[in-house]
Amino acid sequence: MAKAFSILLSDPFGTDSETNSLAAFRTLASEPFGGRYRLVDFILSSLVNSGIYRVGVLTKSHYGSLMDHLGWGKDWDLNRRDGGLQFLTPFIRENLDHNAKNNVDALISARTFIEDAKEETAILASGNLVANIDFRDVLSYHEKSDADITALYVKGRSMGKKPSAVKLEADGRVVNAVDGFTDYTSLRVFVFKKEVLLQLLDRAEAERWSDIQQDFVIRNLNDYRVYAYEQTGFCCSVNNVEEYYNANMALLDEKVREELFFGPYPVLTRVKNSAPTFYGFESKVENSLVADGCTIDGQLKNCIVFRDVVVEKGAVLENCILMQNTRVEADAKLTCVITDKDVQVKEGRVLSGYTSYPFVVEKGAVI
Amino acid sequence: MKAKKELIAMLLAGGQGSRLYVLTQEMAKPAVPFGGKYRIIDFPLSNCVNSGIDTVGVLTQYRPLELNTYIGNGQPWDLDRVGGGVAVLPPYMTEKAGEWYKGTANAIYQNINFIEQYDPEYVLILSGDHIYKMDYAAMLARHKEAEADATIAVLNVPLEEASRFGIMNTDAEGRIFEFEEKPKNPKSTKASMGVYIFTWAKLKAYLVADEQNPDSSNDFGKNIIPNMLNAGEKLVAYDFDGYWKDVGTIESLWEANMDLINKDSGLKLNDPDWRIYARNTSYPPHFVGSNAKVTESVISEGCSIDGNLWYTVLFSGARIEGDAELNSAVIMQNAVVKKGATVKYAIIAQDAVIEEGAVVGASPEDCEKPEDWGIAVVGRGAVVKKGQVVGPKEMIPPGTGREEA
Repeated sequence: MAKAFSILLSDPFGTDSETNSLAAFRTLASEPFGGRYRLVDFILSSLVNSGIYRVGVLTKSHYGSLMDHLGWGKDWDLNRRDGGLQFLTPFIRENLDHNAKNNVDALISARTFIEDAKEETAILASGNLVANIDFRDVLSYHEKSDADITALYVKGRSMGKKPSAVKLEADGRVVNAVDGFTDYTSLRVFVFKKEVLLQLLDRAEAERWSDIQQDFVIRNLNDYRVYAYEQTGFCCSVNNVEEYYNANMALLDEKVREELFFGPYPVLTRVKNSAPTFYGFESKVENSLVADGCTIDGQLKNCIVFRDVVVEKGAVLENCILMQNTRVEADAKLTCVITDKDVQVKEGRVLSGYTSYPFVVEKGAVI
Repeated sequence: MKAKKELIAMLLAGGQGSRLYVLTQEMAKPAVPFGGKYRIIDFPLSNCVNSGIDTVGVLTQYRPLELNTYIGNGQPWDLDRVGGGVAVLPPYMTEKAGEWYKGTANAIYQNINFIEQYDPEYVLILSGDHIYKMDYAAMLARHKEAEADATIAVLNVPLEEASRFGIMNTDAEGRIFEFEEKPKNPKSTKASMGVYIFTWAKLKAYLVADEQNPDSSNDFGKNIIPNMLNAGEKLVAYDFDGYWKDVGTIESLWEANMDLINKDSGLKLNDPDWRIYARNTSYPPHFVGSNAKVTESVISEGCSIDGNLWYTVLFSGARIEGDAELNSAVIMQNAVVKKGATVKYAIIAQDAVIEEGAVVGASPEDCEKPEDWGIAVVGRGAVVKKGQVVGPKEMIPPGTGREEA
């Protein structure tokens, strides 16, 4: 029997999030990523591959696309009679806004789900993390350490702009946490003993806490046994356009693809049944990732191309991310451009951004 | 109790497909991969679902493991249903004896109980040998409108090819008055596609009668259809106009794959209104490296390409290393073509490995005599060693040259 259940936050719920044009149409978890995925696929696949089949998805707003993507969880084998996938959508409660202001509010609204879960361990994570995590290993570490809370971290400061650093004892117990120059960066993925999580939820409501990491974990280092688990392999979280762009481009590195996709556990996503991609007579493609269903007659260099994209003859694209159903007509030139779904770039148009500030074309736009 | 169905489909998938040689040595023909990410059986199954048919019996006999595993609970085709869905029907023992399916008609006869659970008005008989997209609902409409006892889908073939097919001779209204199997002097060009709709009550009577005849081959084409015609039943033709190809030989399987590249072939798979469903492989998008050259080719998910590809179909997870040269090649799931190897006019089956500098197949123009040329085939999991040459028409059996672990 599975030991743990999970709650995924589809949004950063105000914490650590920056206004970004990416989330204009959809919650971050359902942001298209890597040619055929949505961000949530990574954490969801990690959970399912680790035998965790009770997953609640906490949503805030713009979650239509997420519900559409996940459906009843069929493609992740989460259409279970016992457990499976459950959407925890905002609802009106006394003393709380109907729309959670922060991630603690959101978690409080999921209390019934937590209480009803049969498993004794809870995994809290966000839907915007790109990683292939072996939670079996995480859970056995959590158990072996007799931890109340286990926090996942990576070495280095490459992730995000505001790393929350921690100080560890030799056995991995967290004794201190500071914002500063240490080598550990939290992934905001936590494992809780269910009883501890429920105790903390009681206090959270009374004491008006607002951030899971700060208030549930760091505030309680002395009261609870908090341990840290090092996640290795490619790992990053996506909160803004720049991080989104960089995380996509990282997939052009063979080592990253090997770690994410070709290990023992695959990354599952919604199946679309597009036919394979066709390359025409004049296509020229270099260092690019291309999904099914495309017709490529133009030139691509360092590009991530989603399903059902058309690149016509003479079009030249470099460092671009083209989401599903983008159409780039003949002789258009695009550099450092992210096109959202259903974008059409007319013949001969020239668009350019910069690697540190990619130009984003919104969904359905015709240029 | 099961809900009544107006029509259910029975898919004959037990054939060996012996003319596919090494490709069907380990699996039944309907399980043979096609077109980058499909198996042959995906076509009739997807046609069923797209035509609104939700109950399909799949009759298996020859080497069913691969096919059974592939079909599973029918989820990829949306055939995991509360009432109906897909059911795999192998031959079975009874209290008296039990026997293999003796012929296509006998296979249906042995499953009369399965069919009657659904109390259908009509039964659609399909085979797992063809690549085509067809709306069986339109065919059923024709069957009902003509008040026919049987409706047979036909395709207009060139007159010079008609003697290779079962030919239906029809009157002006499309009523069949004569059926000729591979006629020397064809009177019509309407070739049977092996797709039949029967009014179930009629078919059942003929199946039962045919079973009583010890001299019968228990075959639809040889026995049931001629018997119905002789008895004066109403058989009509349903004209199909579109891409249809029997992929029962190495050449035709290779050609049908090449038809995906040739825009004039009429085979279009990326049709949002008529998706072909397949069991998904969970691979990331394919990767094209900095030194690759990909021209007039069809590539699936999970591939990684560093070599040069011309007129090539790559199936999911295939890996083509640097300086490999591929021309008019069909590379199936997870096969690997290593550095500097050459593959021309060949089919490389799943998990096969073409090691460095090896050469498989040749172009027709490289052969002195035309009869020397043919498609080369490397069977599943076989290894073509470094520098080895596999000539045109040559076939390497599955697993050849693989080191035992």
